[in-house]
Amino acid sequence: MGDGRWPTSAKNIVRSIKHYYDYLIKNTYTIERDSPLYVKEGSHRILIDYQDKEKDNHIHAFDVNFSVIEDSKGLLGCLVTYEDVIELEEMRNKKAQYESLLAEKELAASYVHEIKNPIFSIRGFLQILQQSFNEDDKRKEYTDIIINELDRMNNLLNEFLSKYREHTSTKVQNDKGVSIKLAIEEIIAFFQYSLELKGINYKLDLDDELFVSIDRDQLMQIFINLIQNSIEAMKEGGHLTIKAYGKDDRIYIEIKDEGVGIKQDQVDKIFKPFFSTKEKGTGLGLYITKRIVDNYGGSMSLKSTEGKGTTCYLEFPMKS
Amino acid sequence: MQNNKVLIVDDQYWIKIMLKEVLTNSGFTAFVASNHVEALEIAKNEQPDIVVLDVNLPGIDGLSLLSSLKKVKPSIRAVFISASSDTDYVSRAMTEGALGFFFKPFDIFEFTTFLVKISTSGMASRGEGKWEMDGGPPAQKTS
Ligand SMILES: Nc1ncnc2c1ncn2[C@@H]1O[C@H](COP(=O)(O)OP(=O)(O)O)[C@@H](O)[C@H]1O
Ligand SMILES: [Mg+2]
Repeated sequence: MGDGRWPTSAKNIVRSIKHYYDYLIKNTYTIERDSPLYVKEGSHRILIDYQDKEKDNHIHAFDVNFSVIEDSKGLLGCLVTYEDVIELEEMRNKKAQYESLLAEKELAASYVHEIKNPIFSIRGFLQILQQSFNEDDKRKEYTDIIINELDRMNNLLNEFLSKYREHTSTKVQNDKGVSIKLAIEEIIAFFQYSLELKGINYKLDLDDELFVSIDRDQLMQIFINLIQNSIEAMKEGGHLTIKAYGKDDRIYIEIKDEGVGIKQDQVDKIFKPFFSTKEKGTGLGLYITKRIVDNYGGSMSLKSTEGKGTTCYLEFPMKS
Repeated sequence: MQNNKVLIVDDQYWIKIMLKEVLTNSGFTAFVASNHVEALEIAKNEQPDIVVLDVNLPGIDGLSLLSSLKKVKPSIRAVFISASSDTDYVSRAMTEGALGFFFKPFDIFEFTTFLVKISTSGMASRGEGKWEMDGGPPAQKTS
């Protein structure tokens, strides 16, 4: 491939890609940026299926992208990138499932709260109405029954809410609160594949004894949104550093990436709903994250240098 | 009754009307607002002694509104009402100086008794003896 001619068969392509990939991830390169580099012939993209009979016999589908790169003096070579489509697809599906589960739960909880409002106005007006009835009035008895039934309804709603919470909490949450360390480690495991794919090295520096009293799923949602943004910003790899420590009853978390950064004139917009600079972005990630953080008495801010990277600072009250 | 001006802030129409009715019957002068703009307007003009605040208001949460209201009337006393039983919010509200926290649906007569008590006792917005009501803190009354 180095000579600029395309290999002949799909099998060969995969062989050479695998060879380059294995080689590349074991070595560090410095790209000299003296002279500008050009992608000459645009890019060629093909999709190939590949079955590794010797290893796992699984069928892999690779999305392979070739670009011929030149500097001002002449041909340098070609750039080959590839993604395992099936694994990528699986990962996306898993993430989508997880997110829709979270969304469903939030929705159920907010319906329950919305139902409590009319229950309250009915109950209140009944109490006002009751004042005009004598003790021996049948209507007094009836309104008592209605009020009792409303309270029973309310108890059922409370039971539903607490069952729902119990059902979905896992080891990350215990009576000490939610562990920041375990939550972040779980999310990193979840993103392992995309991190590897993008050539992102991560470093975690997380204190053990950090607990917050936050709904576990909402905490996970915060980290999913922020880490995902960092991964998306680091198209060319780099370092992702996550730190968490406690000081004076507050917990401090820093998520630092070496991604594209945020343009100065966009800094005030990024927390607005639907603001996104990504082709398939929703623009809701930071908006939702900030809402959750505020709701739990925390605070968050972003510091970014365009072209260098972004650091997100989170602060939470420590669970007492 | 002294200190009897109450501002009720809730975006639920019938809850506002119902609370206004029951507080008026108990001798309060009640004003209602359904969002923070209306609330601040009334606070300026009427200088209410007590504010009853829903936690979830359109575009703003009750605690943030309380800090704006305190700029208009520093001595205002706050009682929160909420449809959700988020215990973290309760403890934050209490540290911000709220006098009570009621979970919807609650007993409106216990609620008025509590308001009468704070309006006559001259209880400061922060201070000891917050929970001198019979039966413990009203925050635990859920029905
Ligand atoms: N770590 C980051 N690095 C660079 N830009 C970021 C980062 N985090 C957020 N942004 C910018 O903020 C915008 C909004 O982010 P977000 O609310 O998560 O929505 P989305 O990721 O769907 O675009 C992004 O489109 C991006 O421009
Ligand atoms: Mg995002």
